[in-house]
Amino acid sequence: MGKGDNRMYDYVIKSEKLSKAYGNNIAINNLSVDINRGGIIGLIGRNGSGKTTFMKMCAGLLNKTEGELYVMGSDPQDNIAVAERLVYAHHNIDYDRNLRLADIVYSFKIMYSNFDEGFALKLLRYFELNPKSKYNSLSQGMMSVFNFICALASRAELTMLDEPVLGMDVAVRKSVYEVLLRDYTEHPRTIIISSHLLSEIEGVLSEILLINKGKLLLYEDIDEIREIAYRADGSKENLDKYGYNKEVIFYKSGSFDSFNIILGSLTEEMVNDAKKQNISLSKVRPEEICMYLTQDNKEAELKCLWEN
Amino acid sequence: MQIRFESVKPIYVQIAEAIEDEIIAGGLKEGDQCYSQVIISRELNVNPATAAKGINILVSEGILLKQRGLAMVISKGARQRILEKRKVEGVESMAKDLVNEAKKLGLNKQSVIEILSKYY
Amino acid sequence: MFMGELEITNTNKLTKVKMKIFKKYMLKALLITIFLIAVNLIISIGSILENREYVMPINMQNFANTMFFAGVLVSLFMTASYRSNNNLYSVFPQNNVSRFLSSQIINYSFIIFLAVASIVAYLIQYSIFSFFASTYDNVHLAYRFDLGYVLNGFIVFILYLSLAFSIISLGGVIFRKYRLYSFVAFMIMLFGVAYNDTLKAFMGQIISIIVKENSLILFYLKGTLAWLIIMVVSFAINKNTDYNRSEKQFSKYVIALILITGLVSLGVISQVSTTEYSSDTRVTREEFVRPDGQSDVEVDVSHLPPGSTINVKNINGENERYGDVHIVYDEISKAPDGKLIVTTSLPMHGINGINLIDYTNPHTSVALEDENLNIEYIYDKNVKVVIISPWLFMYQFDRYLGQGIFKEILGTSSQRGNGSIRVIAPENISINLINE
Repeated sequence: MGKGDNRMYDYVIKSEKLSKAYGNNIAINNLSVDINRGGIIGLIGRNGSGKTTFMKMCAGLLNKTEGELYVMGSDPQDNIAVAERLVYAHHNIDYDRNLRLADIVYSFKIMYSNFDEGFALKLLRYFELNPKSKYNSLSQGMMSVFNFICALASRAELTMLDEPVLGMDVAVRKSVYEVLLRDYTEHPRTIIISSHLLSEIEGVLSEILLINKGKLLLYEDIDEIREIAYRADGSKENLDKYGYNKEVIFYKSGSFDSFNIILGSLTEEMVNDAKKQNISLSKVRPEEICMYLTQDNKEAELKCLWEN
Repeated sequence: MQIRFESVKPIYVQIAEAIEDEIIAGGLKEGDQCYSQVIISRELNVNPATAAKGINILVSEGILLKQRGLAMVISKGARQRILEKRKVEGVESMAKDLVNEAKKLGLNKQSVIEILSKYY
Repeated sequence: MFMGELEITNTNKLTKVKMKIFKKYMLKALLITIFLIAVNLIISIGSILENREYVMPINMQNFANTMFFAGVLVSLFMTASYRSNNNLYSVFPQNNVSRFLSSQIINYSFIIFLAVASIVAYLIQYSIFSFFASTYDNVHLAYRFDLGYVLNGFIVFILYLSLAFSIISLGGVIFRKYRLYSFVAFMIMLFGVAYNDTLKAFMGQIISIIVKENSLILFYLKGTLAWLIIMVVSFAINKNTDYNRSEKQFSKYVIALILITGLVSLGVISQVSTTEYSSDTRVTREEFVRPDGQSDVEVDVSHLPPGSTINVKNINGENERYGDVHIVYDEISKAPDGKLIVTTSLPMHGINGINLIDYTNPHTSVALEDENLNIEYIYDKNVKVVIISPWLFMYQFDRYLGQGIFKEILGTSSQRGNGSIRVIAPENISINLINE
């Protein structure tokens, strides 16, 4: 752990009715959550759902409009003691255009007492980045890699990565997850990753925090998410009958393919019961569960695009 | 072994099953030390907590034994227990599905037994 | 106290990080400065080596002037782009105070750089041209070197630039806290001062507290005190500003607008200051150093019979613009009996209070041959007067005035005047001026 304030805290991030509004635009809406320390948490949500806003507020880069926010036990606003124990990195951090990668690594070394310069330089070599190259000359993918490297090497107690793999190709992403996991096991810390590609990072995560339109939808163990909803397939009539007394959050009724997404967890018993009603129940992948939970329209309806 | 991340089967369940497969195949014998949470995490690129969950299922089912100070150890009779479990959970549930499907198609018991005999 | 230990350490770290980038920019600035100094030197040396008939002023670039205004422009720009500059460091741990202070430290390092560059430029110019002056008879330096002046000028430069930086910074701090209200208030103030005479006079009075102080010591005291007050106020306002309200930065257009507004304000302030200066009777046009001319030459004509006429051949004064003279027969004045008086008024080729003619060693020689008066006006040809006046703002101080150390007027001025040689005859003698 780093120097400075070493107060113990229960939750790495604790928010109570947190809100952030820009005029009429409410970016974070009454968000209350207690985030456990030590895990790798996926912050999942659609574009504009408030992921970045939330992370920035935790990093002390944005103030709040209402509510309470505690990061590692303290208010992160203008708080050097907290800021030195966390790092917030995203895929295109701005640096002066004259800076070379080695210069930026040097700056991190000065600012973060736990920063492992040797490790950072080894990572640069591993990912084939030339320390003498200018930051601005990097492609988006390599820039993301570099920003990831700096964040990881900071060994900050709370590491927040905002869409860290943007622009990276598949092979590089795989390496990044591998490196992330490995360093996490060697130097445990709390890591929050916001990402679109839940299916890809799911294995890496221990918990998931799903937000939509600035509101908290769920904060669960990664495996609990599979218990949130299930899928029911069958004919339209049978589905209507089956879903009558259940909470259907999404439905598609086509002539060939019809299904409902229903809230609740699946048991053996339910599967057998449903079979008798000619409905087949199945589990849904976490990525799709998140998708259905954050969908605006309950009904899949593309027809309208081509009809008058 | 391979983790299928897109599967609906939770990763920790896949990990537990993979260890079970090793035990069945004889790669891990009784008394052997099981792979640690860290090794599983590193090699499969999964969160160590997930790896731990997988291991803990096997502990709760008595397939792995927690030994003071050391990693988990394959318990006595683990292989038997796994086979039993698979038989019940696996083959028997398949049989249930088979019978249901056959009934749906209007096949009688005799026809089902005939089909089974063909493939055994 | 007003800063915690953690803030101090963080400020140091942040300054170190910003210094790395600052040094890269200063290196570029240094190269540009060296280039400018070299170009100015080459052109001036070229002029020295060039053979010209008449006296020639060689005005060396006053780098303190350039540095000062470059500094103010950069300060305006940096203050306007405070947010977007800070974004380059937003990934690092900091708070409002450390962010502000580390920027200030960089600013003042820049001021030191400018001051040192100015002094070095002057010393280079002075050494080179003093070498020329000692080697070549026709090269003269208009101003002499005074160590006290150079050192005090250095400190005055730093103090004035610091005041400018701190005022601009204060403006930035106020604007960041009060935004639109402060902009409106500022525009009202600006137009008020520009167009309302009472306000202009009032503003002038405030500015003169510092700008019209003629004691060096009092100036240092007042200036430092004013600077301290402005810095403390800026620090306090900044500390109480919610920097993280939103992330909006100024677009390029807004920054340009701020630069223009800043320059306009500078214009207004200079206008107010110069009004103060012109009302100052310290330096007036009449105080232009006008040579006494030369002593009159008396020619004894007592041996000539009354009624004689003396022929005087006029000098070909075709290049009077550059220092030639012509002869005038002053019929109205009368010389004492038996004497002819030839009185010379030197031409005026004045630049900023220096008459270049002085450096050409002008001499009128008169010889009477029977009835012909030969008048010759000779002066050194190809004279070069090198004008190096270091520093700015030094004319407000008594200590260095009237010693030939620097240009003692605001702005530039030139004066031209034709010279003449008047021949004054006694009663009974007449002059026949022969023109060609």
